[in-house]
Amino acid sequence: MLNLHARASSARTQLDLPKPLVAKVTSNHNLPRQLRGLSAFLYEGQCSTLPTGFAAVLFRHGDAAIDPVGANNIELSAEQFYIAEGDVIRIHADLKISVIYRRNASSNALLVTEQCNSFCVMCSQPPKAHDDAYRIDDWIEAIPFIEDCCPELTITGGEPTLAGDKFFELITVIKAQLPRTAIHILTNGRNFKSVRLAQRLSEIRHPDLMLGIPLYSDVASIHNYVVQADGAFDETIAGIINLKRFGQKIELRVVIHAATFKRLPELAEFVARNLQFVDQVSLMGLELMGFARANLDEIWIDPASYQKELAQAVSILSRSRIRVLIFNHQLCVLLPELRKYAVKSISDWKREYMPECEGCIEADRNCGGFFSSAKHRYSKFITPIRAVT
Amino acid sequence: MTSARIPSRLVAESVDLEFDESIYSLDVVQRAGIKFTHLASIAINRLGPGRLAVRIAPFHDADITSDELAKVFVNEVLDHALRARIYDQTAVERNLILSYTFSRSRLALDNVE
Amino acid sequence: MLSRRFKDLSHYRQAEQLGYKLLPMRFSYLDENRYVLSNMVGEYLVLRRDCIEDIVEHRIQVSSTLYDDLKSKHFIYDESSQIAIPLLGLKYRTKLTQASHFTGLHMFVVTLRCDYSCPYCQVSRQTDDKIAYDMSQETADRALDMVFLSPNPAIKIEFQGGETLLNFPLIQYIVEHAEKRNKTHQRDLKFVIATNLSFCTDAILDYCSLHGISISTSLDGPEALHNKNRPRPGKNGHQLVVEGIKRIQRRLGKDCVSALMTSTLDSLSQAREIIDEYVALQLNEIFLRPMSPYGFAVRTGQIDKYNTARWLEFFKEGLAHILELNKNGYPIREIYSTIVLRKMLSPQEPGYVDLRSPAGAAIAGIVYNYDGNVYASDEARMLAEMMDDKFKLGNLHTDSYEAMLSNDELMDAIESSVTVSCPSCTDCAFLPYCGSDPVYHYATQHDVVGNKALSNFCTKNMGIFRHLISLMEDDPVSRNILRHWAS
Repeated sequence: MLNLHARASSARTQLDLPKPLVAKVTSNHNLPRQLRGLSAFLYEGQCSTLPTGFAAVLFRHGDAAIDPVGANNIELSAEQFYIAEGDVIRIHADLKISVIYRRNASSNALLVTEQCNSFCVMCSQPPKAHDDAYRIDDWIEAIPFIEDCCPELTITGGEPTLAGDKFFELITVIKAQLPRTAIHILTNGRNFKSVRLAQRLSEIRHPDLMLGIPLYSDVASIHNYVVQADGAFDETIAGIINLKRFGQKIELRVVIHAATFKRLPELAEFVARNLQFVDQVSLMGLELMGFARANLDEIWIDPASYQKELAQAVSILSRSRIRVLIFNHQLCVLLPELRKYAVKSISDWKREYMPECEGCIEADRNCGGFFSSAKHRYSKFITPIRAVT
Repeated sequence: MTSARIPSRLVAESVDLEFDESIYSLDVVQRAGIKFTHLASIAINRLGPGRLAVRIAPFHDADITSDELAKVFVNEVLDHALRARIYDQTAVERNLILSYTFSRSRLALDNVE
Repeated sequence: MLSRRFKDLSHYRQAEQLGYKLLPMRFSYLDENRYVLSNMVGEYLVLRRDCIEDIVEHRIQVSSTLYDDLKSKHFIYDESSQIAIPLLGLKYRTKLTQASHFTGLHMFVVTLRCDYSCPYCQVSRQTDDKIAYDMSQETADRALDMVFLSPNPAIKIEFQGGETLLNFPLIQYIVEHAEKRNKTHQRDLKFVIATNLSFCTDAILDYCSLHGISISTSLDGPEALHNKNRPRPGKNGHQLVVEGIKRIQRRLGKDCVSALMTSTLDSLSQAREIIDEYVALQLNEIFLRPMSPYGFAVRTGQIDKYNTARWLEFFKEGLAHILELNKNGYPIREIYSTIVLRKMLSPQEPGYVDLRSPAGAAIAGIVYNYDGNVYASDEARMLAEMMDDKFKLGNLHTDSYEAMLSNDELMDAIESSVTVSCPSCTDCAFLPYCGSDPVYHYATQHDVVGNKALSNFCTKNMGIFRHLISLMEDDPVSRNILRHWAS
């Protein structure tokens, strides 16, 4: 698992960082001078003398000595060696370097606030109540540094809409600076119970936007229990309808655990009859971080145990021509007929395999593996797949 | 021109039923009645205040005796009484649902509580 | 126990303890032990009668599976959620408004000439060459005016007769002129030719291929039955149809030809044989149709002996055989069941003309007769053949489009026959799956609403609804197959 906020080894020259510095990483020592002030040069032995004018220079610890030049010449520690051309970093005065965008990442997430109006029992990013408006400000600042060939950005939290006007400003900035980049917003949808908010989002006219909204049950009280908020079910559904009314693409996300697996087919039926206009339903395995770990005994169920319910739900949804995808499930615990719905989705920096996987032909091929957090608990039925399925 | 399909046939023996109008309204009894017009002639009258009488006379070729039909009829009245209770309890909801259905604006739900 | 900061499920269930309220629902008898409970959009549950009583008397236990199912399917609601009402409003709206996006079905009767003499024919077919019984180009032009004045985004032009291919030049004329006009109108335009295939040459097939025309034919069953039902000089109708179907499948593709059957008294004992005939021709759809109460069927006395109960047995037997074929790996669907299942199991309204309320007459389909008379439906045309032109809209040569479609009598008939206001229908749990068919009821009872207790349309449909629901309740394998048809 990559550390995206590691501290560099040392600074070879004076640090000139009145505030954290955002820069785009480049290995191009011939970068036009006008752009160097926005970039961090990554030395990899490509030149005999360092180019001048860069906002920062990065060395890998242990590289052959070369004379430093200018301020902010920093030696990266070993766990930062993945930093590469195209990445966007934020350098702090204490030498912490946050890698906020990675070209090689399978997905890039923008955490815009840790505040949330829900409190899901399995939340992998537990909410914090403090005012963290600086986060979205930082993102708005960083967007221009991201390369415009970036295919997609995920806006997440906490609950992103709690950032208020800045939420809309961020999307507007992304549309302007990165017109070909798709946006995936992870939101509980509750604030979109306000028609005005849904309308405001549509007025931005972003060309490629999808909202991923969790729905955990067909029964209001069960959903409200999972998200620990009275009234959440009604607000979420109203939000979904309002967003659709204004033409947004909607993905329903269902995390499958002990409280949600039993009525999974009934939820599928509910979606097929009431929300048939959604663009996608994502059925997801647990990520054992944050509250999911704290509540593990209460919410854990071996995925092998709910395959019947999962198969029924998938059948109901696909019969209704609703796109279904299965995330965060190892191929061997899925029934064979469900494997074609599985997506290799765990971000590369989070993905791992277990000892039981030894000899499996799908490891590192079609199987998405495990979250590293899965070491706390995972299915007892992991078995190598030896023949092509 | 097709001839009307409502048959006029000889009726077999009839049976009389009485209903307490405070429990089974005229509407309920009538609704039960129309269901059997292919099997019997059904005459509804008021005997006195709060007393409804039903004379059921099965047609000759009806595959059912008047006693059997009377029993079935009573059950049908019970069903309609239940339906009437549902109807009363759901009047408000029905109107609300229809107001959403026929709302002129493109449907949106504002600030659901 | 969840960690301290979290509340248990029981906390979120507290609001449910305050009691529940009912949402609009209907119930009807299914069989000795069970009733069907349905909501406004046809979502249903099969329950015992005393259970329904429990629901209405507020005796259902909170947190029971039944309680949760009733809430999820919008039969009841409670303090924990009020979203059922707007959702039902939306769902009902979806079912109703789909009507305005339907394909307009425009039937052109291009000739009454026909080589067959089927006893159940609803049309007085002509066996000689009188071109007086052919539609003229002028009539066709005016009919096309009317077709393109209708607002439907999708238009299907269906050629009917008599035997349509006896006037193939007019079909060509209509196809080409419709395509020309469609360059401006840009509708989704489709053509179907209904034919007995006696006169289907390769040249005609090539023409159909060029213009994307599909073919619909009649196949009543195995040879003896088909030829008895559908006699022609030479007595080789069956052979011609079978050869014709195979030729079309080879030349144009399996998707370009479909067949339907009409039941006669003789059909009723041969359900399996009829279906096997379709399987032998590798057809994947069959429409088990009852006899309709019009035309020759009435005159030859067939309809009097026709018994809906007996037809329902035929239907059930046929459906059982079809399901068995599916279980054994041959995919074949029964079309009427498929339409009904879509109403029952999906949020959509399939829009089949005969099962709509408000009725599909004139709204969903129109018939342009060879003589320029315009009828609200094919049944209306048949009724006119029986000397009753109640549902004739007018004549292309004398009346304007506006006058024909704002025909008051027609509007009255459609409006007054709407099922939600019909005494027998308004309480029926199967109402969301059914339709009104004023033409049928007028033909049989001389009343557009009719007494449904006397209506074979009602008896037939209720029989089918009950049968399909029972199958889905009691037979898991059949349930899967039927649910698949609905998608």
